[in-house]
Formats: sequence, C-alpha cells, structure tokens
Amino acid sequence: MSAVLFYAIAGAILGLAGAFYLVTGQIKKSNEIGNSKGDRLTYLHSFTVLKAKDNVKSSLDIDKM
Amino acid sequence: MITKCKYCGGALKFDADIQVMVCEHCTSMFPVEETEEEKKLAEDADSPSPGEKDYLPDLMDFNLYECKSCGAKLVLNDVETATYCAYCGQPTIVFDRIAKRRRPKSIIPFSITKDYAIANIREKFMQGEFVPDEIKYFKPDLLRGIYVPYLLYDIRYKDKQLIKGRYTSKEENESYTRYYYREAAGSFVNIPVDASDRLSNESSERLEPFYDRDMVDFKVEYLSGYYADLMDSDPEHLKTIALSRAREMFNEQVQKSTPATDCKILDNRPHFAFENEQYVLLPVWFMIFHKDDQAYTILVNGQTGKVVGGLPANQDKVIRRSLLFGIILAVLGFLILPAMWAMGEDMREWANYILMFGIPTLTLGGYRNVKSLKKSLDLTKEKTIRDFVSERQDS
Repeated sequence: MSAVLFYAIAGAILGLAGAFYLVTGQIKKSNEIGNSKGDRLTYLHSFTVLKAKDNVKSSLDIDKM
Repeated sequence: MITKCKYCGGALKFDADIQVMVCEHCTSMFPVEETEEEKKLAEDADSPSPGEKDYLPDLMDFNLYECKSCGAKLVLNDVETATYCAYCGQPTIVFDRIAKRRRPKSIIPFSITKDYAIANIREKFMQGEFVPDEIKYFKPDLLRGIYVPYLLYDIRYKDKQLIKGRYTSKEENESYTRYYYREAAGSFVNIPVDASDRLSNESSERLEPFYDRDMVDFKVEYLSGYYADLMDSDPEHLKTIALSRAREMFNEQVQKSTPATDCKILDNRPHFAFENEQYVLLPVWFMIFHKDDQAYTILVNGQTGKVVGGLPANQDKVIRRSLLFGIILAVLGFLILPAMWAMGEDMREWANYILMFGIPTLTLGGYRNVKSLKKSLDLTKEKTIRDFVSERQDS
C-alpha cells in the first residue's frame, strides 16, 4: 500500500513538473520575440578542412602534425 | 547646415520606402547622389585633415548647436550626429559633428518604413497568447529610427585542434570516447560588432543578420529624418568581440567535420589576422512602451524587419493556465504511475525510469525557459537602451 502511495505522489509531482515545463514553454513562445542570434553563418565566407585524422591518441602532439 | 530642397528651400527627408530624398513641403524628390553633389564643397571644408581622420578626440558630453532652419540653439548628446530640431521639427543635420569624428565608410539605409515596423511589431504582439491586451494595442508614436554604429571585421582564421568527442557506433549501438585531429582554415567577412556603449551586444546580436547587399557609401543625406549615433566604444575591445565570434563559428564548423557529438577541444594552435575593418551605420527602429510604470524597448532591424524583445506576461492567464495544466497532469500522474506499478515487474521498471529522468529533465527544461524569458525581458527593460532612445525623443 505504501508503494502505491509513493508512486501516486511521485506521479503527481511528475505531472506538476510537466505542467511547469509546458506552461513556461508556451509563455516563452508567446512573449519572447526574435531571441535567436541571427544566421551567424552569413559571415562565414569560406571554410576548408586542411587535414583530418579520426581516432587518434589522446596524447597526440599537434605541433608535430 | 541642413539638406534643403532646391525649389522651395524646405527640409529634405530620406524616404525609406522609395529610397530618395523627399521635400516635406513641396514633395519634390531628389536622388541621394544629387543632393550630395550640391553639398560636396561645403562638406570638403568640414572634412578632417588626413592625420586626424581616425583620431577620436575627447569631447564634452554636451555641445551647443544652431538649427540652420529656425536659428534655435540645440543641446545635443555628444554622440549624436543627426536629430530633429526640438523647436521647429525640421530634420536638421549638424555637419560639424561628422567632421569632428570618424566618418562612417558605409551605411545600410532604412528600407523598413515606420509604418511597416509598427505593423511588424503589432503582428508579433498579436500572435502572443500571453501578451497583455494593453501591450498588444501600444501607442505607435513612441518609435524612433536610429542609425547604430557598427564596426565590420574581415578575419582570416586557421587552427590545429585535438578534439575529444562521443562517437556512437550504429552497428553496435554503443558510444565511445574518441579523439580527432583537425587542421582547418576559414575566412569571415563583415562580422558586425555594435560600437555604441549604450546598446548591449546581446541585443545587437539578436537583431542580426544585416545583409551587406544593401550597403552603400555613406552620405549624410541618409541620416536626414532619422537619428544617428557615432562610435563610442573602444575599437580594441570590439576587435576581441569580433574575434571571439569568429572563433565560435570556426570551432562549430570544425566540430561538424567530425562524426562525434559533445566535442571538446583538448589542445589547439589558433592563428588569425584582421584583414579589414569598416565603420558603418546600420538601421534600427526602437519602440518604447510603458506598462505599470516600467519602460520596455522593442527593437526592429531596419533592413529586414526582424523584431526583437521580451514582453511581460498576462499574470491572470499564466495562473489560470498553470492551474489547468497542473491539475490535469498531476491527476494523470497520480493515477497512471500506481497503475504501472501494479502491472508487473517490467512496467514497474519503466515507471522508475520515467520518475528518475522525467522529474529532473522537465524541471530543468522549465527552469531554462524561465531563465531565457527573464534574460529577454531584462534586455527589453534595460535602462541603457531606454536612455539611448529617450534622449532622442522630440520635445
């Protein structure tokens, strides 16, 4: 019986946490306007990977590469 | 000196809609180049000598100017370069100010008109379910078009990096810690950093992007009818901001080139060079409204129309919605979790997982939402932005 009561109370707390998340998300969507920091890649003119090695050792000396 | 109509002598104002100078009295229109041509001689006389071009002299906070249209004496903020005359309402341009300070190289003229900016703000406000009605129907007269000073930087960046990341094998469906080596080079063009101390970098970054396709050589005529600020930030400090933005974008690209997630740079050798620096004026609409004696400032990108700001929520609606969702979900949790426990060992395990991860994840997510909202609201309520605009109110 005590286990059932524990799950019931924990379930109610979970529900309250869910309500907190949902309501704050709705307010954020409604009242926060244009919070993204623009399309930053607009300023990236060129990008080239000159050398790539996967699965190297953690002790790799990058000055010797 | 004021930009005047050559037919009737009335003040000319730059019209963002049709991108020409318009006489407010006789409605004659002139291309910007034409009016610039006529004032070239006078402008040359005001230009600084080559030696003092990049020198920013220490000026007093306030200076006295004369309105060339009505003769009134005006006190202007020491970073202001264009304003309406507080007495006759003419869009007066004070050339002495530009001559004394570093002249902007380029400008993106306003292409979003005042009406369009208001319509954009109103549309965003109307979409907000929790926006109080008194804010939705704001007074549109508290709107100022201000050219904000920016420095645009071109940066070349190169780096060697040793990266630690989590690699997930699709075959084995397991993840491992792996190390990656990357050497990459990139170039950035026109990274904007706002050069006005009054506008926070957080706010100005949210206004981005500004597109350089509409950028033209600076001509004082574009300031006519708007307000403008000149640079008052330390250029060395602005360089560090531009560099940190370039580094962030570069690292993001490098990490995208690895098959890993949760990447962390363990060791690196960055090299960078500033290729070019350009002083420009970019267009921003500032709208102030009050609610419960608190001022809020909403920004609109004068080129793209992007609206930026945080609004207070309708408290009654928040309480009602919280009670509704809280009661429904708490009752559901109260009933479902014990039922899962009663359904046997497997379901009991699932119930434990849901509780163990669900409660902290949802609480943390809600906390993040509140934090993000508070940050937006704080920026909108920021006193420095409000002062920035208030000093440009017509009296």
